Amino acid sequence: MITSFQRRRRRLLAAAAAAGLVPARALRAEEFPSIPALATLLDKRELRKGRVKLDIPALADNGNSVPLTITVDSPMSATDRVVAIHLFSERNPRPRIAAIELGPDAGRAELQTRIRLAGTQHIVAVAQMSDGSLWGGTAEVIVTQSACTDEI
Amino acid sequence: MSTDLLSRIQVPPSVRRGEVFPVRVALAHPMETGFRHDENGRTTPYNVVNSFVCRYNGVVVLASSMSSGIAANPSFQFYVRAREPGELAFEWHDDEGRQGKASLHLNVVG
Repeated sequence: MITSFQRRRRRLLAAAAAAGLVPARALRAEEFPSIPALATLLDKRELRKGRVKLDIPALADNGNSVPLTITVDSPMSATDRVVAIHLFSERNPRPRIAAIELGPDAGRAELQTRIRLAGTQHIVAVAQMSDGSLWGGTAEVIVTQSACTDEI
Repeated sequence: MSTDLLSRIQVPPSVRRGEVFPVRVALAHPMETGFRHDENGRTTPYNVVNSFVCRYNGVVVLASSMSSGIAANPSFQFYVRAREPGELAFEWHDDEGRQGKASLHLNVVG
């Protein structure tokens, strides 16, 4: 049962969203969050969606150490492989989390690490292939307790 | 073999030729964000492991540059294809100029 309070709240939220006061968090499937550092890396080159999978918990209790697996769909042969993976955060004070170059002996396009997240946000991984094409994947993480809580 | 900054690096005891095997790296480092304060209110300066390189018989397998977005005590797992027996060498640096080095022998059978 919807109370009159809930009805009013919903109407208010809808009006606020329409007025652009509440950011709509959901991204459309073909979109990436706007991150200036990502735009700098791309330098107007095309970033296609796909081939990059981010395996990260949907909800992290603590942003200080969130396990992340990046998997790129690539045969990793001498002629067709991933040469670099760039990792970006939407809301961290330093949006460039890491840039990883992979050499010819990297046998599988898979990487695991642990990252810090300052709040609920999207993260983006961009894979640069040996043919120069750029592929990206994104994931949203809800962070209960943010990293960098000491920040003023 | 290791210097200055500590680490733990694991590979399988032996691998077959052509096999793709995991390399697990854990570095001991606080990865200071520069946003923390000590009990006297002084800022703890930014200091992270900003580069980490793994070489297989001299050829770079993985070269990573990092910011404070990587969690304290950075850990990585990545995959290497076993070409030939030889040495896996690791090197990393932090913003205070300290460095760590480690190397291990890779047994390739078959």
